[in-house]
Amino acid sequence: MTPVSAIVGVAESELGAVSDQHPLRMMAAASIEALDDAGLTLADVDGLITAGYPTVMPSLDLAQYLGIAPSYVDSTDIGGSSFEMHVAHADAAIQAGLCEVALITYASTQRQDRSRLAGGPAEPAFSYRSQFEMATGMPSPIGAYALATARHMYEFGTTSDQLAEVAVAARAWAGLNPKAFKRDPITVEDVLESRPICTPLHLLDCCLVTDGGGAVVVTSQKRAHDLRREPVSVLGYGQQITHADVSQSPDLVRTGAAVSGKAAFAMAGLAPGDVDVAEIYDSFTITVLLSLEDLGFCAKGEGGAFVEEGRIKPGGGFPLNTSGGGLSYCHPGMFGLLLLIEGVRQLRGECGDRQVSEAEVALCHGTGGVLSSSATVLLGAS
Amino acid sequence: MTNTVPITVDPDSEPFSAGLEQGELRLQRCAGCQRFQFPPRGFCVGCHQGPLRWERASGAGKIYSLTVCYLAGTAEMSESTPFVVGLVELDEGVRILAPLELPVEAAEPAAIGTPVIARFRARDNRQELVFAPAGEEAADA
Repeated sequence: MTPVSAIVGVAESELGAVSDQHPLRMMAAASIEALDDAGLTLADVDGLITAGYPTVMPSLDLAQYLGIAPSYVDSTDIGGSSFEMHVAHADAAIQAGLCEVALITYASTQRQDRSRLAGGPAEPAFSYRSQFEMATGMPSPIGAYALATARHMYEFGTTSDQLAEVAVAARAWAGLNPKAFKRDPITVEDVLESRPICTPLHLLDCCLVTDGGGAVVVTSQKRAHDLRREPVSVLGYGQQITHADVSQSPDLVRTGAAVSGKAAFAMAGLAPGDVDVAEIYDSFTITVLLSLEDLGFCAKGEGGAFVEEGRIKPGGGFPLNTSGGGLSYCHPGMFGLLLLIEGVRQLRGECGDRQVSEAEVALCHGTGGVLSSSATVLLGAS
Repeated sequence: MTNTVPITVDPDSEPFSAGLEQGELRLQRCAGCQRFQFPPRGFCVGCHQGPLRWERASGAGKIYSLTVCYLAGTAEMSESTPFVVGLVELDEGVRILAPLELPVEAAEPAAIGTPVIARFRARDNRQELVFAPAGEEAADA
């Protein structure tokens, strides 16, 4: 299928420990920079998309702050994978003629706020989550991912050492990224000796809690070719939600990625073997194993073996999370937008020491909630 | 960390909570399609039609997965770490997240599949649903 849209501009906000900015200001700064990257300005934006800004009407608040009145807005929130889905929505909106220049942006100051929660309205007391899940005292989201990890170990014999390989590789990539929050190398032993949070997951199996955000600009193929940068085409996408709370997951070790990935590959006319660089949501080490399996990079249950022997490290043959990922680069509560930014930069060949040679196809895959939502985007170099 | 979570009943789950106070695990069942469902809802999520009734469940199930929490998600549980939480698949086909009465050392992935039985334990001013290995039920009796 001929691509409809392309990503023409990307930018990160300030990352890491941000002390003097609120999320709206960070989103504005990233948006202006991403638009400038494309040779556009806020005046060109007629589609505005965001998630995770914790007010009741985030589209209105953000548009007002930016000083724009877009004809198309979307603030659908399915957790950290929202932004992969937003690329799909932007592409569809552009195809339908609802907008021509879609700006997707997100920022959070959760490190500054000392809260893993992105904020938002209080959990209603009548909710299932309040009555039956939070009451157990199991922390969320990590408890849910721990349950999936234990189940994966039980069904497939996956080991803590294999999971640790994901964290070790992420840190090695982060060592090549000047913007990464944690850059000192770690070993499998370091991961296994870090304190348990919810077994079998240790502290170093968990993503960072940082401030950060970014912006991505999507426009039509036609408009894209008149702009400043070589466009990165949106080749395919898919998404699937399965549940909200962990007890209601249909299967703890089989995620919606099986559906979202299949749809994305079918739309693009590609297969997993065509992917040159993979940016896969790494909220926890287990998230990567499940995604690799469900996206078809290996058979179900073989994710642990797939990442062994440094395969996903720099130079290891399967470039994964080249920024250092949510585990070592930046995880501002919702990581999906930063997956897209790194995917685009790899395809543009501007990643310096961590550049993957001859990268022509990038897969960006988000996982949100408690393995609740999956959204996949395939991007192609010009 | 959130504050203490109040256990608040809603019209859908009130019979479930009332059951706990009487030492009973109750589940909604559709009189039309016979399906059990949890969490409680105002309609049958299977056939969308049948009237729902509350039945006393067997209380028997198996551990579907489990974790030892060294970090608590609520202030109420922060003094109780480490504690074991399990996702239990009941014989009726539904899954419930609940505390597991299992020693921390035994709460390994290898314990998945272990038969468990519902028990009720006093906590604050209410009865809390927990699950314990089924074999120990007889020993206690």
